[in-house]
Amino acid sequence: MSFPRVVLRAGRSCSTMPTRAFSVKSVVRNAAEPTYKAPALGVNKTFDEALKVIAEDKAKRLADIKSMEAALAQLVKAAPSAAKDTEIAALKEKIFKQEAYAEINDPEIQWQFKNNKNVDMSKAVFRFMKSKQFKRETLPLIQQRTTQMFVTPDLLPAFTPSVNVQLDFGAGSIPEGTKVVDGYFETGSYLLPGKTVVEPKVNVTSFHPEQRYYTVALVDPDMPDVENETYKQQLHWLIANVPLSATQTELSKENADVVLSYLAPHPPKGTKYHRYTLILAEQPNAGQDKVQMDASAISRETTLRDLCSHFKLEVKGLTFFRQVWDKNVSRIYKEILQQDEPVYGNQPKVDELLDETGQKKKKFIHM
Amino acid sequence: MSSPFARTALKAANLMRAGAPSTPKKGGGTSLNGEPRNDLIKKVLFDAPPRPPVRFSSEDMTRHETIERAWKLVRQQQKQAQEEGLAKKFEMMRKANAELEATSSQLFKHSQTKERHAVFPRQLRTLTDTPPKQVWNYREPAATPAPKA
Repeated sequence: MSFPRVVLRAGRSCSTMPTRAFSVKSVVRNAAEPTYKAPALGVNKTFDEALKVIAEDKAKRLADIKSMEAALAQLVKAAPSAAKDTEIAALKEKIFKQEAYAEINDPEIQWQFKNNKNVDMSKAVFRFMKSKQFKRETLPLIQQRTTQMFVTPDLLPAFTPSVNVQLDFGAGSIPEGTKVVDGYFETGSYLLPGKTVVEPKVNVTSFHPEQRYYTVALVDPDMPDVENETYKQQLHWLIANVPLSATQTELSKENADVVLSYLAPHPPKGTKYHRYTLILAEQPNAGQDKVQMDASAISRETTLRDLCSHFKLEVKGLTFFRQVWDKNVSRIYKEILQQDEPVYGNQPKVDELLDETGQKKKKFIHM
Repeated sequence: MSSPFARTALKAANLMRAGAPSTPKKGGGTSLNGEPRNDLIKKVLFDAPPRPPVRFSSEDMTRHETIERAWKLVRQQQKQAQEEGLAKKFEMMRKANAELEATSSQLFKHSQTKERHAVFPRQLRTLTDTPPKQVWNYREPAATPAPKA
């Protein structure tokens, strides 16, 4: 390297000279634009070449997709065999990945995804990017909260959620100071009983383009069971045959079967916090089968494990919030449940060193 | 050339040319036997102001990210081509070996194994630091090894 060579450099040289930047900081001088504005050509030659490389790669991948789709058509027509289904699935997965990689390098697609504008989940690239984002950002948090609060060993065996579920109880339902992710409360947050009386809007982010049927259940695993000196589960809400897909993200009761209507969460006084868990279980045959839930066979005391094993449901998504007794719970008992409100407490402590009369027990007998 | 170290090197050159005596010594304990080199090093490292961070507008940032993606793509394609080439070579080698195995099992075994008891030539002259007194005997001819039958 030629040692003392005076190099005249302009102040903001990024546009005129392609420098190898080691610390690049983006300064957003103007507010986020409403529509994508493509960067001007002819300013940075490397950028123009980059666009050519990306376009070439895209063309190659699209050609590859065409040949793979032809191969898939052939495979579908071929004679059925044991390996055929797995081969078809593998080929479909390859086609999906190629479709995603073909468009992922487009700066417009990147801008759209970053700013959440025109994110069309029917396109493979956006489904791919969203699933990656879910696995990277949302999933670790859900897993951590679920294991920390012991939701998984108590209600279900440990599993990895593949679908993102979020609840919205309306405006003002999230208390001050709660962490909010994408406009929804973080998994495991505390909510007030007064704000969860009405049923929530359930938003589901799934990554399959085809429609599948799910079962939605809201369970409270922390209801005290005094006779057995343990806790019992209570089903607060059960809806079967909910159609969901990457484009169909909201739960609507019109298209589904409500087996148990929504019952407001009511943690009794004297108990510790209750974990109200909403699970999303895929119905059998990869979500294609509809399930007939007999209202007489299912009660609010049915456990989740029994429900899933009986109807062969596979749990794919989970979220939960916590609640503690409040004066509004008394109102819920009076108005909605129309029961006497139970109050729980500890057993009175027995001092082993005193006898029934309250006197100190004699150690020795006078012979 | 726009090396990231050009600026620091330039600064060092200027400082070295200016020389140490113009500025007073710091602390005094660094220059050993009157040598100002440590002072100079400290001056270059700590007194030279750091480079300001490169600031990009959002348009430039988009360009930068696109360039990075395209470069990754190129590297990926190169690696893919290399892997394919290697895979082809391996396949040809494997086929050749399979054919040899089918042709002659003795030749195949000989091709797949190495002599286990091979040793360095024991007739080698021991290496020394200095040459011998008589480097080469020009009178007698060199002893050639007996040709193998």
